[in-house]
Amino acid sequence: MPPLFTPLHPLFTHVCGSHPHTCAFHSEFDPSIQVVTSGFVGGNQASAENSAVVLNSQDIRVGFVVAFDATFGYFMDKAEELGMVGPGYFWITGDGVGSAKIQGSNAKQSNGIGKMLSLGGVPGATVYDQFKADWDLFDSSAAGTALKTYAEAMWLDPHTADASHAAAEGTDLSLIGSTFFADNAPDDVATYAYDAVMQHGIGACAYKAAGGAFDTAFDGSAFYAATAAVEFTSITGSVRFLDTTGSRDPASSNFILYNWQCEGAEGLETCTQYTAGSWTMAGGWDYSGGNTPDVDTDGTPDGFRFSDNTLTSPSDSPSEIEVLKIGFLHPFYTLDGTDYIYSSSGHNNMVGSLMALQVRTRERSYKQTRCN
Amino acid sequence: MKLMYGTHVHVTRVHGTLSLRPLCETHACTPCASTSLAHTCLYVRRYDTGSNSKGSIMAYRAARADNFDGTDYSLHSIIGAARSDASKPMATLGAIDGVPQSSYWSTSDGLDDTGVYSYFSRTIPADSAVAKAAAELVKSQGHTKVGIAHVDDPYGSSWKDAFVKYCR
Repeated sequence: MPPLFTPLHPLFTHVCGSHPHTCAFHSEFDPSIQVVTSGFVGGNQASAENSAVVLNSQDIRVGFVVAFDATFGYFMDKAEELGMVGPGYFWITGDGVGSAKIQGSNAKQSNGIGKMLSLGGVPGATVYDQFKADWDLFDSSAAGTALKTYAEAMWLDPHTADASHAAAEGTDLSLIGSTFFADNAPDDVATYAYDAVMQHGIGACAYKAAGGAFDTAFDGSAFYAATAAVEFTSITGSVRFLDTTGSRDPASSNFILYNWQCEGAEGLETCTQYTAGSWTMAGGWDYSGGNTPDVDTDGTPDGFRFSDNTLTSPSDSPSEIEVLKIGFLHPFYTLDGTDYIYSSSGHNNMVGSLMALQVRTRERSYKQTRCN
Repeated sequence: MKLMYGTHVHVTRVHGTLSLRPLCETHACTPCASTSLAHTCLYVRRYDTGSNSKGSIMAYRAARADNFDGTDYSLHSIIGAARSDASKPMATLGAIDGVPQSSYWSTSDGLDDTGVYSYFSRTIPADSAVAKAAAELVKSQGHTKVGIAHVDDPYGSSWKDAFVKYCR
């Protein structure tokens, strides 16, 4: 359990649980955005649930869940149990959580959730559309049969290195040959994987053109340099790599914010993933190209709709009750005494300054609450 | 050229592996732009990393020991792994052995350390870019207090660190 006064001096907080992997929790405070973080062990239900408890103890209303499918579910289930989903809360996840996972969650968790990721392929781009046309062909009987043969050979072959993980874990080959491909557009993994192979194919050409060989004279250093230097237009756009690191140049990639919106009677809701906005390194966020519903019928997509079905992000400030709690913990720093803290030369140490900022933030929240 | 494709297949990510087929299958050839060059044939085999460091090392060792088409030529390059936690040990070994690697889904900024991962590249941007986008999003909405629950591995920790940096 975090120490009693954690909310007032989070810079100095480092709380370790009994399990060594729950030690990652810490809070950080700065004048612009206070970020409370809680790490959990991948695949560990208790650890993921503990993160929800930790964020709840810090009164987090707006947050990110950087996880994979299973632990995302554990976290959100616990968050729901703690009353941390639905109106007043805003959660965003990333590329580690599949859209199918969000689709499969209950509507209370899914409605108003965001998912932010580096998109990969962009429908409408020439190369992507060509790829998608080939992709859809796999649903035809001939192509589907060939692919199934390939998949069985590649997935069920003896090349599984770790015997504890079955090569075909969770893979349902019966999906191939139906309408699987038409129903499932290439995702970020598919498009980036395709481009990785393209990178190596084109890089191999450049390597060979420079006299390189793929036999006993193979030069890994020269081949790496060739693959890192390629530039080509492909499914994910203009592919190029940073000279300094070999990573994809983020300026040549596409970032997207999805928004899940659920409609229907309780228990019978239908949840849909919409595109709310996109982001580029040069231009920042752009919400003009989304496809969210036009409920207000003004002819343009409404934009991100939150869990209370409004277009306004929930407040991340403490409630009035918690302002009073501060007063209880620090009776000498009542809200009426805020000016004293600001002006007092006798309280000019760092802790005093932080507390003043904290109280000032809470005072603003208090006033907002009163105005409402 | 002999490629290792490192991944861990499960149904929600089935697309990733399937996407390879149109280009390379197991013995496909990529025509080079110059007609004076022979086509580059890609011999691809998939190895299951288990999406963890142990499985990644086992997959790498298995690929290195595999003679693919019956020749004794060694592994030339690696596509993958998917998760950063699996890519890091593989990239460490690849740097030692001189085997280039390109990941399609490993986003940890830690993999940008060229002193360790000198043969690593990736077609997906590092976490710092999407974390910057996330920070700009919450700032634009006026939020002053946000939380992050993250998996405590190279991916989640890197994402968290980058986000905190951009919130300052």
